[in-house]
Amino acid sequence: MTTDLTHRIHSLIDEGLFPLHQSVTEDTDLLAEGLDSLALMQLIVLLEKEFSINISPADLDRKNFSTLANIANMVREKASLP
Amino acid sequence: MDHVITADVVVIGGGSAGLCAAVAAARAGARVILIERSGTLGGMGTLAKVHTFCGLYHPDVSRPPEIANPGLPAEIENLMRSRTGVGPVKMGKVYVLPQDPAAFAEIARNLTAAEKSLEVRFGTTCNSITPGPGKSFVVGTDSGNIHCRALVDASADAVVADLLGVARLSVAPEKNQRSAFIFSLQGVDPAAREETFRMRLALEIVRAVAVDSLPQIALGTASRPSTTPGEIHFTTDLDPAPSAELMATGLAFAKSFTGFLRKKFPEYSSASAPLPASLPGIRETYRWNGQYILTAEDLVSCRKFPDTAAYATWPIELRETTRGPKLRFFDHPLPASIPLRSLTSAEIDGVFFAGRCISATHEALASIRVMGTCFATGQAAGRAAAAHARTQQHT
Repeated sequence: MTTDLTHRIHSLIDEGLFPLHQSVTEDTDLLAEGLDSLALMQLIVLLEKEFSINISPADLDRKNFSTLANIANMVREKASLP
Repeated sequence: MDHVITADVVVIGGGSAGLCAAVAAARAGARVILIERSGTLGGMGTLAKVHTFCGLYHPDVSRPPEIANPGLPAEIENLMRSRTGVGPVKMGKVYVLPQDPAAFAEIARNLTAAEKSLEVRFGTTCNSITPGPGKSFVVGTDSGNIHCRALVDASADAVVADLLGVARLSVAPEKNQRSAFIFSLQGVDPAAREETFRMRLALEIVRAVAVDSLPQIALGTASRPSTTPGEIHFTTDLDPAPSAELMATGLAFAKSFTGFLRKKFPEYSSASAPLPASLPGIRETYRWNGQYILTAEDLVSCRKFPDTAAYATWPIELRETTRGPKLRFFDHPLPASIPLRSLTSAEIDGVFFAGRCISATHEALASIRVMGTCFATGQAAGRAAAAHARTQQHT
């Protein structure tokens, strides 16, 4: 399930925001890959829509957005996904 | 009014490309006149407040930053670093140099003033270009005619081609790369520079747009700390439109966005009024159809040309949607060659071009338009123009 969710988030970013290099794993630092303040706004919009979640100011933290795995963890908690 | 002056080289446009073309031509021994319609050199880097030099560094970010083009690009990088005290930073998979527009204007003034054979004419517009005796040109300006042996078009819009009646390359206006409007705020709390704050700001912008308290274009607004303490730059991408419309939209947005920041965040409560750019950041208009049209494939495959004049290092950065830039990196982490033929007219001997209006496709432009590359194509075109003028003297 984790990989499915990570995969969905990977596709959201890769298709909607910026191309992710083949070498990107679930632990790659996305902020170094191009997730800047502009891309982050788009990502918030995409995540809230795709997973019907509500991201709060307290979620906006490097630890939640730095990697695909961390984003997946946050989404899983918020969306009560298994 | 119709006084005739002789120069070896006339450079049209004092942006990043024209500045380097003029200085390089003068250093190569030419008598140069640089025509600039505003009162400031630096173009997008000063008037439009584009506060990052892109394209200066070798594209391999696994190594420490290294200048890709020797000469003026390296010199300007060094002068800017000593002014701001800020070195190159890694942004995603590229190195960039944060730059200060006011410092750049001064650096440009000093570089041009140091050349005894270079005269800068500010507040001057080029209205006509006609063939003169021999293979010379008569450049008609609002402050008189200039008689010269070679021309460098660093106008960004291939104005010289238009005046000479040569067809230019372009795409339909709505297909042009999106433009940008930049403004800055001073008196901002240092906490606003922190990553966590900027991430929270991103969320607040999303929420404000959802309830229409900010316009949709706020979602295309990037904030970056300036090299000046207490100052933050904001860059808003806008759909292609005439300059007047871009300025009107940008100025109105700067006002409403500043109000939003001051109201919502204590970090911005004592921020200044917005300090807007004097010109919109235009990424694409017209280009020359030169001896060779540089393509994206040439750049991406790092094709080697025997007549390499400059190196491009910036990825193909397409700005076509409201979702922000789409980057296509070179296939190899190597600088890509720009041939002198892409800076040289096919039809008219003695005409060279530099910067954003070189002979390149719409896609290739998305790499070569950045200021670091404009310095390099400017330098190359300036040297070529000086060499051409020298051969004309001896015939």
